[in-house]
Amino acid sequence: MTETSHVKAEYVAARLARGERVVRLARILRVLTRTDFKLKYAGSVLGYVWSVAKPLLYFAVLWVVFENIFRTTIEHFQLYLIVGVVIWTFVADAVTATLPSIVARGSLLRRIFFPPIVIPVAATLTALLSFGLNLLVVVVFFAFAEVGPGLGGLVLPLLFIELYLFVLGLSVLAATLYVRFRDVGQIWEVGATMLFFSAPIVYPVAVLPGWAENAVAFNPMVQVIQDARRVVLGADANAPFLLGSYADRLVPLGVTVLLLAVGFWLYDQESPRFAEVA
Amino acid sequence: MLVEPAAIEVAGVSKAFLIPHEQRLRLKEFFAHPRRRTTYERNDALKDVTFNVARGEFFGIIGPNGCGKSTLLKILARIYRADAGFVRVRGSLSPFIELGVGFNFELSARENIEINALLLGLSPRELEERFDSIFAFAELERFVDQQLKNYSTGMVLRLAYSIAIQVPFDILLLDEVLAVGDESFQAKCFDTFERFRAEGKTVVFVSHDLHSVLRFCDRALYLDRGTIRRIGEPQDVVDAYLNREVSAELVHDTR
Repeated sequence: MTETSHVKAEYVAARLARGERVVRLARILRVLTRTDFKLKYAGSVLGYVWSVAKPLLYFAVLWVVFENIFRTTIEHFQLYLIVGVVIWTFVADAVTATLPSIVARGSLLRRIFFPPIVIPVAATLTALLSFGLNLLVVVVFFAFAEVGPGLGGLVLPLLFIELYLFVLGLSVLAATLYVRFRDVGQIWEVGATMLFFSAPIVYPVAVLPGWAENAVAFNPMVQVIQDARRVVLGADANAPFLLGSYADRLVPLGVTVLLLAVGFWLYDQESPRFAEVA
Repeated sequence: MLVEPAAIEVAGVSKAFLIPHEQRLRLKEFFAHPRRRTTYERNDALKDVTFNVARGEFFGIIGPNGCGKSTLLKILARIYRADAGFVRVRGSLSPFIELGVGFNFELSARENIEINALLLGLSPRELEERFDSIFAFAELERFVDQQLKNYSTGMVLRLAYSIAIQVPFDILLLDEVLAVGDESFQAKCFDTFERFRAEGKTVVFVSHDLHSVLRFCDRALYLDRGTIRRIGEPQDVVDAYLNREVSAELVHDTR
């Protein structure tokens, strides 16, 4: 082994002012997000239409099954369901797209130096773009049903920021781990299914046994879905708060912060060697 | 006396790659045998490499395949991090590594140029100013909106070289730029080399084409199994490289 460990590298002109760096990163993010979005639908006839059509079709399947076969008694079930499906689709699509993103951009990483973080962040922003389009569809649903959130709707942006941060933490963690352990791809496939069925997307949270209610209370996605429904539908408003009203928000917020911290810490550890491994 | 600082200073740089004997990419192995240490093949790509490149110098790096040339360029370009040593690069740097820049073959040439230009540090306006000349130099004006997967290898190479040299740079890293192109492209490269010399640009030139090294380089470095064998006058360095190969062959023949 080499004894000397005084690794030091200076790149005099490469040091930009902080402001310049931020502007440059923002530009790179914009272009990567745009091309990611384009690549996702490259070669398909309907193109971007799919980003809206997919959750709608998913919704239709679930609606038919639970409205007609299981005879759900939830009031405004279509609205109840579309809120859950659209939020779920965002989480699932974002993580699924970000997971292999660093490996997929390996050819870029091996040739040009740039902060690799832009790759997973751009992938999550691409999913966020689809989420935005889907929210417009949700608005149409609510307009037809003549149901509105009122002033409570002002809370929604905060909920979506929380949702995005949760997705970002999970995605950066998954994408970083995937560079070393390709198993993460398989684990996430199963994990996504677990996430879907453990969350009150098609069923009300009250049907869960007590221990399961406590378990899902840790999931930030569940909190966002439940709070969004409370705001726009008044649905599940009477459902008992899972861990008591404050803990109900603080625990999933804590989980989000923890995921972000672990994800970005691991990224910091691993990113210098991405070009060698990815 | 005023000594101009070197464009590139490399001091005591070492880099090793650990190649596991069994691929340990799976978690199963990690959990199944947590205490078993995976055995690694240690590949010392660079061992205590020290040299300077002066500003405005055309600097050649030669050596057999796998001698560490590309690893060295990647360390200069910040893509790899050295295990030990010191690297200082003064000036903005444009890399042309592994036959070009990072292209995505599903995207059009236009989009690829946009991504790479941004990553290399061009602003959108600078790109707009240079866009036409990038394609003009590559002689690909008619194929701007085609997907790159429909390009031939030579076309991709031309485009990659074109973007690498249109970025404002003080230091250009060129890895095997002459390996794939045809004669007319080579002639074009030679023209640009003359121009860079005239403009006082610093060029680090990795090539197996020893004639080009002799023709353009002010100094050269001969790298063998990660260590510097000879550094100095290109003729001297090329001779050392050729003689070593001949003597190795002679040994082989007499056996």
